[in-house]
Amino acid sequence: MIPGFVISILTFPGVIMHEMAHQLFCRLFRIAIFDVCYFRFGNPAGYVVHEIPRSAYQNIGISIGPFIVNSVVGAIIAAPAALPIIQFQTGTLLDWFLIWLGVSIAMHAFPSTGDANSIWKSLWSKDVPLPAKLLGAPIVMIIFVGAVGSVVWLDLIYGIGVAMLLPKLIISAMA
Amino acid sequence: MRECPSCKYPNPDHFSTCFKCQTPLDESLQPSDSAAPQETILDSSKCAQCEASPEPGGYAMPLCASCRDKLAARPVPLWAITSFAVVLFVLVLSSSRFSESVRAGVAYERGQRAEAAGNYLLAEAQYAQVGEYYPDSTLVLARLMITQCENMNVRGADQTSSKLEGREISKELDQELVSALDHLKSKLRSDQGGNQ
Repeated sequence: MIPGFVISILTFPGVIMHEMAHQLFCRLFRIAIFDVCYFRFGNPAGYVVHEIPRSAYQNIGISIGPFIVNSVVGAIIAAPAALPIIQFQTGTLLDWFLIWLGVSIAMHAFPSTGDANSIWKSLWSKDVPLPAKLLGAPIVMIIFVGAVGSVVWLDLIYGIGVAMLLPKLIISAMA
Repeated sequence: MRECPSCKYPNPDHFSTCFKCQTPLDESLQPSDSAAPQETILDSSKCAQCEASPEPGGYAMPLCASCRDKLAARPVPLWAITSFAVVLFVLVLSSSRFSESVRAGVAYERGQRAEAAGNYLLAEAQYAQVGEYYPDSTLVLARLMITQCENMNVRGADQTSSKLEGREISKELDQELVSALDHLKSKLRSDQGGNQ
């Protein structure tokens, strides 16, 4: 078993990006932030302490923010390097750097279990209409599974999937 | 002032939870380990920071508009901005290489489909296109040579073969290359036989 803090150190850009995404969404929703830790040697490796958002949507947005930002940024960074490495076996040092950075960022897309709980509670609050609940439940469920599944490397599998397999799927669809 | 037992932040006396880390001031608990907000017990008639009248609108934390704006726009430290700038630079760099990578990937996929359908002329053209982007790829060179053999492009196959010399090739690919070369040789022999 590799301790979590070692994984966090090896993939620190993802932790920083995750917390920055939380902060960005707090700023967008005008939610007061009391403390931010972008990275530290401990558990959790980073956190954002903010006031309770006014609406369930804001709470979901703040919690899901890193999932969107980290997934998109990780995929864009790793995509051009994935093909030369996976398909053509001609990866340069730069390609391997891009893969490390992309996977590191994408694997920290999943929210923490605390965030996942918060999203789940918000989704079932009174101010979320039924269609939004029905639409959001499967998404939140996936996020929840991802958050809990980090103990079985689901976050790493997701990171590799987003960073390396997504470009292959795009190419298969385009060809 | 009441000092937070967790983060040592000096809180006003009427606060029951730490303003900074929201740890209950009467108990010693761990600081928040996630972005999930904590429950707070505060005097709702005063701004928690400057004691002005708080902003209406259903906020759980009593803060005036100016304090909320200030806290929401909390400045990002320079090292974090620098890290973000590095990631942004890499993002731009990656984006500029993405179209090249996709073009090569699509050409390779089309080459494989054409090869499977027996359209070796199209497959050779597609593999040659991939070779422009990844000239060092053993896989691409091998596939190009196989299709060149099938198309009886002797000069092309010879040139590609020289590029492949000394490279490590998988057993499977090596067998495909040998069989393509045998095919080319037998075709050439039959052509020569037909001309005599």
